[in-house]
Amino acid sequence: MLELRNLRKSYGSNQVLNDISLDIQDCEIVSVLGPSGCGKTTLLNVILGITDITDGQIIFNGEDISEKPMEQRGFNIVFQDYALFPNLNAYKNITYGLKNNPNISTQEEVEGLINLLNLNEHLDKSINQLSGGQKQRVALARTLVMKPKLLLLDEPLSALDGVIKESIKERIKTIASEYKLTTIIVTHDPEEALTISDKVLILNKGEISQYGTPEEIINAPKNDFVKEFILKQLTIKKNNIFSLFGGNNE
Amino acid sequence: MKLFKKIILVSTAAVLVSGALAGCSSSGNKEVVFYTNADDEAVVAMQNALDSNGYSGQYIIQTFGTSELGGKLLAEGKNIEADLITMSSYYIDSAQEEKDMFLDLTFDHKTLNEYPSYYTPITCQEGAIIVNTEALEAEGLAVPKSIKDLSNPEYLEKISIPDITGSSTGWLLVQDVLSEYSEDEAKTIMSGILKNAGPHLESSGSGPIKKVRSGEVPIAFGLRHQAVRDKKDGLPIEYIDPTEGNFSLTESVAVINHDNETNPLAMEMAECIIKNGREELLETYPTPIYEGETADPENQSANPKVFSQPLTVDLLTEHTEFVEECR
Amino acid sequence: MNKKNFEIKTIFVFVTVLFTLFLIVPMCFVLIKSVMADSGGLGFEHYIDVFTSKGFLQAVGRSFLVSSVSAVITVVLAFIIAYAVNNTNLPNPLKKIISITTVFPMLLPTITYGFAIIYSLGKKGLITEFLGLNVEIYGFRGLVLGYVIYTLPIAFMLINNTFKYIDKKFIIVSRVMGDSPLQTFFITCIRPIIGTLGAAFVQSFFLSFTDFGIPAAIGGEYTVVASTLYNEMLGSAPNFGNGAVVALVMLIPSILSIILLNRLEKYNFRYNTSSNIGIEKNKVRDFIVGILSVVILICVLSVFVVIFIIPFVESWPYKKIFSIEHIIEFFKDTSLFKIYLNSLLVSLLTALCGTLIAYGAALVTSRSTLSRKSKQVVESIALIINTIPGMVLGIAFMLVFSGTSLRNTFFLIVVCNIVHFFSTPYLMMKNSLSKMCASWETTAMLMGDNWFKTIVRVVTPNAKFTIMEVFSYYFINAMVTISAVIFIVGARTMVITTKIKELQHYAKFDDIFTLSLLILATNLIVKGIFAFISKSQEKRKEKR
Repeated sequence: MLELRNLRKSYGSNQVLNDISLDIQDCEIVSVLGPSGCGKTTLLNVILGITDITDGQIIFNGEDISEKPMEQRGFNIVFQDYALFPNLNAYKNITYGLKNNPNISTQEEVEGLINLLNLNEHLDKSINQLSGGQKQRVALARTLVMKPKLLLLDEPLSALDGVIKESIKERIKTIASEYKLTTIIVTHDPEEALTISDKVLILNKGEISQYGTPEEIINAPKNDFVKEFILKQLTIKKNNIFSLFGGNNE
Repeated sequence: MKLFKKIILVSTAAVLVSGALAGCSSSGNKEVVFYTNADDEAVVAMQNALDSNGYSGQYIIQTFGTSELGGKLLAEGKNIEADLITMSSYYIDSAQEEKDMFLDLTFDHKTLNEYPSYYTPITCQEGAIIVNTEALEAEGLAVPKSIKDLSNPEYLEKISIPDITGSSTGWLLVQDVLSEYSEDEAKTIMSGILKNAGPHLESSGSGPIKKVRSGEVPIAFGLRHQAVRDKKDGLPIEYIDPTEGNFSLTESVAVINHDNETNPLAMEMAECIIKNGREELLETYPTPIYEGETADPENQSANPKVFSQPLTVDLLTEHTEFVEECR
Repeated sequence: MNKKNFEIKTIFVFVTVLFTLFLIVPMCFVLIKSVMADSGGLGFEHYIDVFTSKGFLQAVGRSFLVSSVSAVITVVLAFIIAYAVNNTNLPNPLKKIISITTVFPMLLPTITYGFAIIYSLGKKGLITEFLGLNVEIYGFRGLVLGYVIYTLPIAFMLINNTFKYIDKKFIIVSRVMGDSPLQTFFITCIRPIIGTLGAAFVQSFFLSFTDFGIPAAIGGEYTVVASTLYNEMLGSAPNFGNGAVVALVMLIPSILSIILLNRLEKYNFRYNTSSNIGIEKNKVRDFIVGILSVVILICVLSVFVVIFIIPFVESWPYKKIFSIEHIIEFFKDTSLFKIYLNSLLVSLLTALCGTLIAYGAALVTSRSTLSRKSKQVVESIALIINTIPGMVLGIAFMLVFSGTSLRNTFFLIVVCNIVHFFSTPYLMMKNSLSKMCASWETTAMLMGDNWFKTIVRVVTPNAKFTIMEVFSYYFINAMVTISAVIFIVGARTMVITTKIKELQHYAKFDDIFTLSLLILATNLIVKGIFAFISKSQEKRKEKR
């Protein structure tokens, strides 16, 4: 379980995160949703350990890890741009971490991952030859080889188009349940957040606007911000699609 | 990837190898550093003397223009990198006076004239007018007889002379002018010569003869022995001893006093140059300096002269200022 | 945080200390030297001395004149060539040949240009004899010609680079909107590169103003600032105080140039895309521009023909018979060959260490979380170096290190070269590193890499093309430079270019040109090796 206790982060007088407290249960998928500048990337960096916190505590499985350096926390991340290494081919990217920790995953486990992510035929390709979805899967595989205790995904779907988006979504869900991974996904897209996760954290101006299951958010929006910026978007989308299909039916 | 690593390896290896090659001698026994302003023939003669007497590979020779080496001596004094130098004698005099930087020579040498204890001449060089007979004829110009003739307007941009600011050969020409004529007359003549030389004013003493050799200009003022040799080699070169006289300069060998770090080989080499080098030096610089030396009549200039005042850097500065005024 | 950045902090400290010791301190020394009276104590006597001397202001004026004239000519010529390469339908192989030959002179030292001009266009020169010309080349004309040859490659590269990124679509747009051809030319061709033309002018001017090699060879009595500076330091009556003043005077146009260059940046257009739409057919234009470019290049190259001929002729210009005697003698003379090895050693060391330092400095500014202030320190170092001519740096080194055990050492020469040429490699590295994905280090660290491993496994392999470019930039420049090293080499550490200056006294042109050929061959080999590596790497990539 990951517990955040009264987290605060400020740059000088600029308060980026203000009094964030929440619990994330094991094996949960949690989305962090909000407009740009709401502090969601900072929250991600704080949990990952790239950024120091100004105040508060991060507790993971009962241990206070606030001061622990990033590489000792055992968390891992897939960045928005995937950060694949273009000098290495897909397979070498996936097994990159094994060079440092040869025993972290067995050969079978790696092969299992490759199968799960459907990467078999792309292993010898150079990074530049991969499509966006393939890159995303390679990046996921590379991260999963490290067996992270917590998986962070930064805008995992933003660079992908329609159909691939849906298939990656499914895969993320499969992985989370198969590997019993606690997963935190940062996104600006309400649809994405509400369809992929067990719980959604809505941030506004560095503060928690609402934290709850997708149903709670749809059915009981806590405040105007959630209504105006999150639900309104979804309603417009819904109406557009309905009218599209309705129009066709007539 | 592999190629890239290879190139790093190869270039590292190359550095080490060329470092070893370039540094093999310098890292071992320190060679004697030998600075000289001497001309090619003299350098070769001195090298031959050193090499055939077992000093091969034990010295590094570096050549300079007179002004550059002179500047270095006066600026750096004892700090100079060189252990051994040959240089225009007046510069050695001035450097010793200012910086007290030379050791007294410890070997026997019997010169015809008297010289200070810290140097002894290797060569004596005379100035003369040099012409390219072919070019002269082609241009239809008269053969100049004197330095004064060189200021004649008909030679506009047809003569090349060494600049006194960069070359001591240039000084020989100025001595000709200043010793023979009154101040006003000298000024007119010098201005005329400078005007005639125009773009062919050379910073190196051997520059003008090069230009005459290549036909760039038909007339030059330069070192007499070079013209004698060119003529012997069959080039269309003729030399004329100016009526004002053949002035001369000596170049001498001296050993730098590096105190505790003085390389004892430097003194040995100085001795070797005088004892074994003079014979070959005499072939190109035929003026006798030491007892027992005789001159080849062909190389005997018509009217050798010595300037009335002792040659020093101060006098050179004075004469340089005179030339500056004539520009 | 402190422990985390240990490595990059070490690099930062190393770079800062290096440049403090070998840039800031020496430059301060020049400044101090200039205001120190001979009697001790402060005083402006050197300034008065220099500025009241008859020749100095004249030399400054001449430097300005000759540099401006050659910069104007250079920019015009470079524009024509760049236009031919980018805006015409000339056949591609021809374009390639034009681009390559334009930058060819960069592989030779400037002092060689001067001698090549003398032996080509002098009274008995190759071209003079061949064409029956009669041009006076010593002084102004020779300098202009030399400077144009020297700066043409740089001006061309600048203009060519901007041309490449001009969106050719705008030519179509302008034509469709009904502009006349002349209007189109101005709007789509001149206007977008006006900033670069200015930059090319300033750059050419700066290079000409501060070059030592060309005036050393061909200036004659036409004294420019560079020759004055040389004479004050290594001439017949050196006056280091006056030299320091002249050095500072030389610094002024340099600083102005850099300020101007930064201003001119703003005039540059930024096209978001550069669509490669076909260029309008116009045979007349192609023919004229093509012929012009080829003529320009033939003129430039013809000057260099002599260096391939003189070493193989028995006695120029009297016995024009083929003979390899000079070459044989040359290689027999072990002292000359040793100088070649010295040059090779200096260039390799400069390239290796220089690349490492430029790489390290670029890592600090583009791939570290160090404070903005630290990054600004590195940035200002690069900027300061850009304003310091080689001659001034060489003099600064000479003043500071004479009498110390570092004097005349290979170490000092290498450090001097690294500092002297630091700016461009640093910018090249920074450019390449900052374009790389920002999250690589974090990702690799999460995969268990430490900082050093990340650099070796990820960053370096991805920067290797730039690293190779930087390496060859440093190598070639170290090979051809003379302006700074002339003041710090010693008898044991002679390099080729300074040897050429020495050989000038004896007018041993066969040796001078043989040494030049050695430099050329070495640089070509280095270029060739890197071109080969790049090609085979690209092929490998394609195979994947």
